[in-house]
Formats: sequence, structure tokens, C-alpha cells
Amino acid sequence: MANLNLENLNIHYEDFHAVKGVDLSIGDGEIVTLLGPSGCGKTSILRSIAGFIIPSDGKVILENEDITLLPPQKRDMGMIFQNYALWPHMTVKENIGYGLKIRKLPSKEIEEKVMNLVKQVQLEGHETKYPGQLSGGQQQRVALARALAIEPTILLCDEPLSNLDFKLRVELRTEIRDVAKKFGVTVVYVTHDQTEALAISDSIAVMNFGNVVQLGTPLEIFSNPNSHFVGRFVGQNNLLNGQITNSKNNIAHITLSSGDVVEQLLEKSYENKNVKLIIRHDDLILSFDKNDTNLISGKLSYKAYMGNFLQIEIDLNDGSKIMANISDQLEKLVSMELGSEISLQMISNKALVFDEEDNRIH
Amino acid sequence: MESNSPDLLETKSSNLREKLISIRREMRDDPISWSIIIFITAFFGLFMIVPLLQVMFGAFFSNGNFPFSTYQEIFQRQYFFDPSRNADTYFIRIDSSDPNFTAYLLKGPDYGVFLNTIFMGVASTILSLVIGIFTAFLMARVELPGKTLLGGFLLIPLVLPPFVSGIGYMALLGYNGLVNTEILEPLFGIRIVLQGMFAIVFVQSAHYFTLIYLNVYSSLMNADPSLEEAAENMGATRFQVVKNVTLPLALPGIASGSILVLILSMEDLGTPAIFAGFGDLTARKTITYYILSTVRQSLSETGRLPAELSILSAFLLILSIIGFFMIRRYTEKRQYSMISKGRAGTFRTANPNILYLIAIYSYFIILLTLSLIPHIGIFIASLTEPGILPLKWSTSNYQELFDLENGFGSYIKNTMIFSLISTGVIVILATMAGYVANRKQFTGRSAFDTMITIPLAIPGVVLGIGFILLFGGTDAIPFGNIQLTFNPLIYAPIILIISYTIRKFPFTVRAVYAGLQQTDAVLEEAAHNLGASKGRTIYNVIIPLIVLNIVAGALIALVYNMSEVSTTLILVNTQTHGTVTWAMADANGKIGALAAMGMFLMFLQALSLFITNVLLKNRAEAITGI
Repeated sequence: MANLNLENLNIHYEDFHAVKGVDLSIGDGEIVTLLGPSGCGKTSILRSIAGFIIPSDGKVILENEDITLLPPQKRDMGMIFQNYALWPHMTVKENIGYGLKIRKLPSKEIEEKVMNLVKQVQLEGHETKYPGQLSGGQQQRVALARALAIEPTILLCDEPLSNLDFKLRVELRTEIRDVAKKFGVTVVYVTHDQTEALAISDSIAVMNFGNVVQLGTPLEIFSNPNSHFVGRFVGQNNLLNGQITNSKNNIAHITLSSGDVVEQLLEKSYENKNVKLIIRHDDLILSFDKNDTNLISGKLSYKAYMGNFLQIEIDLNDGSKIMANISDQLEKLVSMELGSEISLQMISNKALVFDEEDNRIH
Repeated sequence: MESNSPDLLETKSSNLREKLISIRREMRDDPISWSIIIFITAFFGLFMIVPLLQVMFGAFFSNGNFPFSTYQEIFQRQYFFDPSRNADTYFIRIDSSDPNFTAYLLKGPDYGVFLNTIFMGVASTILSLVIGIFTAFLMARVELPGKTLLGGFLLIPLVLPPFVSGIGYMALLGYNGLVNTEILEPLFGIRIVLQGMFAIVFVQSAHYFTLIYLNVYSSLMNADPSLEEAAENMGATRFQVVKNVTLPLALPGIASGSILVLILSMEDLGTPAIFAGFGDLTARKTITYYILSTVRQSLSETGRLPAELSILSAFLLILSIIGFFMIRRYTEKRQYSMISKGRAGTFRTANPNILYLIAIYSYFIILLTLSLIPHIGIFIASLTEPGILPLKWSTSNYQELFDLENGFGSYIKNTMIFSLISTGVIVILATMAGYVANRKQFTGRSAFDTMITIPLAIPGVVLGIGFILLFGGTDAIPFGNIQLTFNPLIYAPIILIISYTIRKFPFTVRAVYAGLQQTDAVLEEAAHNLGASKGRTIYNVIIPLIVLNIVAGALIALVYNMSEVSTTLILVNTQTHGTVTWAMADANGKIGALAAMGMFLMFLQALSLFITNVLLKNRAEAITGI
């Protein structure tokens, strides 16, 4: 229930510059995800918002107030930890009510609020259990309720779902989003899981090497990545090197390093330009017609049946590889032997193209 | 209701029958493990359970009846119970009889043997708790320059058994100790002397606080850092975090550590014996010392043990066994501080300002000075000629030490022989016992586990009494038909080695057990799967993997064997079989040579603990045994 600004945030660990001058503005009630590979500085940012790390430079501003140096206990922020961090010697109820007890609320009011939260996170009947008696999913629900109990200015989530199995992750991320929206709380969410980020966020800050490389809505991040790093990180895809051999009416012929040639509509016409192509696994289909355009050919080197599609990998002429998820003509593919010649067709204009300076040119 | 009871009986007997059937099946399936179990159970049965039952029996039966009159006598004797302190000469006395100085004599209370023992235990425990917890917090949660060095210094008290400290204490802080004669008297014209219960509590706490410190420190370091962060995040102040999260999580460690200190200090015979040897009359009034002096007197006078000894021993024994089971409960609980998945980050330590730093270091300097006084005292005393001031340095004490023919050399020889043989037996038996207890599922496993670890809590004095009762042919009632004439006064070495083996067994078992726990059973299965026999698997896979633990466990057993006091004092009656500790506790003035022997023990202990530490890397559990 507050907006949060990070201004030129820098964090050093001895010689390691973990966060490099990050500026970020988070609106009231917004769910913002810091997404990036491990070591990119996302958790450091979260911990400096919580007050566990004092940044070496820069400011954390909450509702126009500089809180950079404020101790964690005075920030009124709820946090969900990666390993739950539930106190094993307290019951579910005591865990959830702890922050309220610290705030010296009358015990009757604490009881009411706790029971309401217990209901919200569907833990009725478990109030008097200890964390050790709960499943992982239930423990994470307790952690969520505990963080929300203090009616936090900001809810901080540090990879809260990474210890859960896939089904629970999907279930709980929806639940966290629903509950957060219901309470109208501002959320800063840290994850390295791009699907989780896409599903839960209002906006995503993709991070790499201590910088925010792109900030945008999930749709923008997915369909309009501003660098080949973001493109690679979000979605399942292949990175191929190529060269624009000639263009006509902004349609470029790109020769891949394997020798295959694909056509792609670009912003303008280029000649003799080295480019990087990102092609999503879903944007390739099987082709048996040598006259098709946008063909990429090689030898089938791997196939795995995934239920509604078949994941395959193809060795290209120059030793590079390309992966695809194929959902058409499965019978033909299933019977195909490894090592057989095979061609994939890139769906027109679906590639993301970046020039040598990593500028998106389509 | 009545009709239910036959059913109940039947279920009980059928339970027993089922157990017997399953044991028979297990024996057929795994004869090797069961031979080990049976052999070790027989060993402990004969040399631990039967002697202890004999003690208990003597406490509750005399000629087939409950010995009311003996109890009455004990409770009525002022020497045992003196709550109104009639025998007490003084608590604190200021003595100005010497014109050169005023002596402040702090003797503490004297409530009679029983209450003194309880006072001694409780006071040492409280003092150790306060110092141990406070020190552990500073070490675990405050950023201190030179922390590694401090940590090393804090382990030094462990390298000297508390009773050896008594000698160093007398040399420095006694009435004629160097601190009094060289510092306090010339500078302030005073002497300050701790005596009686105060002196014993001081010496014990200076040693035992390390046990609490190690336990609490490891609890604090093993807890999940995010548990404290979560509390800070909820708005808890530093103090509230400690009170609501840190302390409750460390509580099992604190509880088990303090029970251990309570048991060890109440059954400590060496410290009272040292002070009593120097002429302190109040130091004689503890249960352990009373038992020792009575055993010596009555065996030489009448050849029989008076019935009251069984009662006093049974009292100590019951207390220790209750304590042991409480420790067990708490150590099982200790694991709950680690239920959360994985650990996040490290603890944020407080960064104190310069004033706090000065305060903290002053604390450490005072603590270390006090706890190292015995070591310094022993070192000085070992290199000087006794009773001569100013100090005259000399190595004559050490020369006497290595004179194997007469006196002190023979004590060292005995100590080494007894300790080494016992350690050898322990290593073989404890490795086998640790293996079956860790790897095999068998009926009665938890009872077996209890049996091989409970000696940790059994007072050495009591085991010694048990041996005398069982083998000594006294007028105590024999247990069943087992009454061997195996006079401990004649066969002391054999009995001693057996008692060492029983008493120090748990330390090696612990070490082996810890090693096996880190070694996945899958590794054995992999060898079986490739066709290796059971014996071969043990030889090729298990032993190489846990050999370090076995070595470390053996070293701990060796060190503790060498410094064993209680059983040795009770069982050894002639100089021929005397060990180093026996000679030390019989101190009659020869402080220099005793100190030299103390240095020798200290050196061996330090060396062994250092090696153990390097090998096991898990100080608290290995050294304290819990």
C-alpha cells in the first residue's frame, strides 16, 4: 500500500559489485518481479529493500521518505523467505500472530486477524500445529499469512516457491497474486523462473550482472525483448548467428552460420550485417517440402515425447544445434530414426533479430 | 473392569512372545550382528548393569528388609544434613591476625554432605550457564576482531580436568598462592582466598562453562539465519529476536548442556579430593568425597562397606540416570531448529562501536584470566621448587617424572598401560557396537543404544562401589548367585581397565556413529550389488570411510582414560597400582612434582583434542559426548 523508489542503488560485497546503480519505481499496489539468473543481484536488491543490507550507494525511498538506513524492524514490510523461515517452536497461529504481538495489539484483535488470515490461506484446522507437521505448500501459506498479518507497506517475496513441486508452484503463484490483489499490497517478487514471473507480475524487471536490462509488462518482455539476453532468458528458444546477405523492401535474406537461409521482415534494409537470431521452440514446424522457404536442415539427434508435443534437437552443418517443439505430424516423427535428415521451417517473421550492438532490429 | 485384566496380561505376554519370535528370526538372518549384540550386552551386563543393580539393591534391602534405620541415621546426622548450618564455622571471615596483611576468607555455605553436593552442582551449573551462554552469544553474533584466536583460548580449559586445575589454583590463588603473596599483599595489604564450596564451584565453573559454551555456540551457528531475519522483518527489536527466536531455538542445547554440567559437577570427586588433600575440611563434605574416604577407611579397618554407601551411591546414580534421559529428550529436540529446507545466507553479526568493543574484550580478558589461572599456576609450579620464595626455577620436578623406578615414573607407566589397553578394547567393541546400532534394525535397538551411551552419566564413584560390592566379597547382599571372589584390591589393574572401558565407551561410540551417519548405506549396498561379501564390504568400504572417526573417538577415549579420577581413586588402594590422577589426588604437599604430572596430562590432552578437532571438525558433540 505504498510506492517504492530505488535511486542509483549500488551494492558491493567486498570486491564484487553485485548491484550496479539500479533505478526502479514501483507503484502503489503493483506486483513487480525481479527476474534474472542466479548472481544477477536480484536478491541483494530485495534484501536492501527489507533493510538486511545497507547499500554502498544510492537510496531506497518509500512514500517520499528515505529509508535506506532504517533498521529492518522499523520498515513494516512483510517478507516471505525462500526456505519459509517459520519458527519451529511456534504454532501456525503463533507464527502468523507474531508481528501483531510485537506491535502490542490486544490479544482478542490478534486472534481475530489471525483467524481471518488462516481462512484466507486455507489453513483452517491447522492453527495449533507446528511447522514441522505441515507440508511444504502449507508451510509456505503460513509464511504468506505471517507476512500479510502486519498489513505491510510492501510484501517482499524471495523465491518463495522454489522449494515446491511443479503443481504446487502453479497453484500457489495464482494464490499469492489473488491474495496480494485482494489486500491491495505492493509486492516485490524475486524469482529466476520466467514462467512464474510472467504469471504473477504486473511488471517485470529483467536483471543481468547487477543491472536492470529491461522493465516492462509480461507481454512486452515476452514479445518485445530489448536485448538478446532478455530474449534468450524469457521463453524456450534457440540462439543462432547469421549474416544479412541482401535485403529488399525491408525483407532481409539472412544466411545462418549453418548455411541455411531464412527470410525476415526488418525495420529497414541492411547489407552485410552480422546478426543474432532468437527463434522460439514453438515457432518451428516440420517440413517435408524442399521448396519451402525458411528451411533449416540437419540430422535428427534427439527426440523426446512430451505428451502433446515432441521435443527434438537437430545437428546443423556447422556443428550448431537447434531445438523445436513439434505438435504436428507426430506419427511421422515418432517413427523417424536418430541421424535421419530432417528439415524445419521457421514460421515467417517470428525470429527476434539483434544487431552486433545488441539492438533489436526486428 | 476386572474381566479386562486377564486380557491385558495376555496381550503383554503375547507381545513378549512376539518379540522373542522376531529376535529368533533376526538371529537366524543375521548371526554376525546378533553375536556382536549379545557379546556387548553380556559385557555391559556383567560389568555395568549387575554392579549397579547391586548398589541399588543395597540401598533398598538389608537382610531382606528396607533399611529404615540407616536412612533415619543419614537424615539425622548433622554431618549429612545441616540446613541451619550448625557446623558452619564461617561463611566469610576477615582475619587480621597477621600484621602484614588482612585475609579475606570466602568459604561459602556448609549445609552438610547432601545439601553441599546439591549446592555445588547447582551453583556450578548456574555460573557455567551464565558465562557459557553469554560467551556463546558474543562469539556467534558479534563481529569481533581476532575471533578465531579467542575461540582457541576458550577451548583451553578443556585440556585440564577440573581436579588438576585444583593444583594450579592452589599454586596461584591459595592462601600462599603467588597472586596473594606477590600481588595482593604487597600492593593492597590483603589476601583473598576462596575456600570450601566457593573454591570448588570456582574451579568447576572455570572448566564446565566450556561445555555450555560449545553446545550453545553450535546451536546458534546451526540455526537457520532467516529465522532471525523473519523476526526482524516482523518488527522485533534485537532483544525481542533473542528472546523469542534465538534463545528458544538454542534451548535444547542449553538444557542438555546444563544437565550434563549438573551431573558432572555433582559426581566430581577429583576437585573436592584435591582441596581436601590440601586440608580444606568443608571440601571433604561432599557425597563423592565421603564415599571415597569411607571406602578407604572401612576396607582397611573392617574389610566391609557400610550400608550407607549404597544409599548415597544410589542417590547419585538415580539423579544421573534421570539427567541422562532428560539430555536425550533435549538432543532429539535440537534437530527441530533445522526443519526448514536449506539455509539462506549467513548470520548478520552486530558491529559494536569502540566502547562496546572495549567492554567485550575486558570481559574476555577477565574470563580467560580466571579460567586459565589453573594452567598458569600448574606451569609455574612445575618449574619451581615448592615453598621457596622468591621463585627458584628448576627442572627437578620433571626429572622426577621420568624416573620410572621409584615413585612418579611408575604412576605414568601405570596410567599409560591401563589407558592404552582400555582404549584398544574400546575401539574394537565400540566400532562393532556403533555399526550395529547405526545400521541394523533389530528388536531392542533403542535399549541397546541406551545401554552403550548411558555410562556417560554414571558416576565413577558409584561404578567403583558396584565393583567392590560385586567382586569384593563384602557383607552386601549378593545379587542372585553371582558373587565372585575377585578382589579389586588385588586385581585392581584388570578391574580398572574394565571400568575405564565401560565409562569411556560412549565417546568412541558417538564418534563412530557420527561417521556412519555421514556415510550413506547405499555405498554398502553398491558393494553388495557388485558381489562383495559383508565382511569384504566392511573392510573395503566402511572402515576406510569412517577410519578418521574411529581414530578421533579412540583419542578422546584415551585422553579421558588418562584423566579418569573417580573409579581409580575408589578402586586403587596401593601405590603399586597408582595412576597419575591417583597420585595427584593424594597430594600431600608435593605440589611441584604433581604440577609436572599435570603439565604432562595437559600436553597429552591438548595434543589429542587438537587432532580430534582437526579430524572431526565437530567439537561440541565429540568432546561433550551429547
